[in-house]
Amino acid sequence: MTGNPHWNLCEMRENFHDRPRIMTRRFLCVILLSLPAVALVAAADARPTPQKDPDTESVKKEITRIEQQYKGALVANDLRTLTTLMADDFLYVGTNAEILSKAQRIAQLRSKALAYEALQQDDLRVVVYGDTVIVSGRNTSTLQIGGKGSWGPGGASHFINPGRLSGNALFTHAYVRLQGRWQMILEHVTYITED
Amino acid sequence: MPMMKVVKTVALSSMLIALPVLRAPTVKADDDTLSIKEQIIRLQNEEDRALLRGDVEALDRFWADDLLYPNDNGEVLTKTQRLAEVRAQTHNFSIFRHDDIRVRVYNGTTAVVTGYSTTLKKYKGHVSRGPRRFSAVWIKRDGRWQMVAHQRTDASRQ
Repeated sequence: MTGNPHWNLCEMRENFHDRPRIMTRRFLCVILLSLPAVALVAAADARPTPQKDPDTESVKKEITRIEQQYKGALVANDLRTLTTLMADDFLYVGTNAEILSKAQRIAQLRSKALAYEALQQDDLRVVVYGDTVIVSGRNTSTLQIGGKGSWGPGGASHFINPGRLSGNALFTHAYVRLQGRWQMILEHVTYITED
Repeated sequence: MPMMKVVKTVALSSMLIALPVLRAPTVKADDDTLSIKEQIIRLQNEEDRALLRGDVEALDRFWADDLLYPNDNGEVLTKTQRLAEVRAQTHNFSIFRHDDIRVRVYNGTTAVVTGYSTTLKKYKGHVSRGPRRFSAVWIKRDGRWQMVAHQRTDASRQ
């Protein structure tokens, strides 16, 4: 271990006069030995990052357009469009605290047990979290309640008063980008009541 | 013994460098042992307990900065407004009881929780036990889950 000092980087032989040089060598030795491990750590931490949308504003615009499409489809009772916009695991929490699956919600609209005559959205807030978007806002709607259903809380009917119903409600819609397109996974609607 | 010092240096370097590597399997094991649904139910319960004791610091961690919280009085509250309510004890919870909890997970980073609540609460002087249907959306960002939306519908008012 006494040959060319450049090839004996990790030699730790104590020598008072060579002490600064030895310390420098030790430091370099640690750094060199560390390089493969640092590479290993970097590889371990290299997890796939969620796809970040370069333009949040464009997502907001797209979601706002989908909201318009959704609202129009409800009023037109366009079940084909609604089926496309709702994810397979879509959940609807209605104004009477009923919770419906996608199939139940579509069946409810198909039966005209509940029909939207008019629907207006205001105060829309859209928050983008990568591949998830939350929308909240206010609905002003006129509904035609045509009959009784079997999808109320605990299986009971929630259509207590058939007829025309108008009111204001707050809503939350949640969207997730699934298979490359935005799909609604949750709709929760709550009538606004005066205290 | 120079050889001993070389060995010591190598051992020390390896230990220092190996520490972060050893950390990774721990995180993975946590993911493996606790499914996302279990994690979300645990978080939801922790959030309930934080509300019960009015723990603003804990709620600040559970709720995303852009939390949207529509209530049945026609207001969409922000995180700041919700925390202010908790701090001012405008919203007092006495007993938490949640049933029919369902969790749906999307893309591994988004979870929707729905449930039925008969929680006893006092809001602006009005005492209510519900029942209420609630929904909450949680998303995973920077390695941790946070609630981004919450809404409830009071079934007793229908």
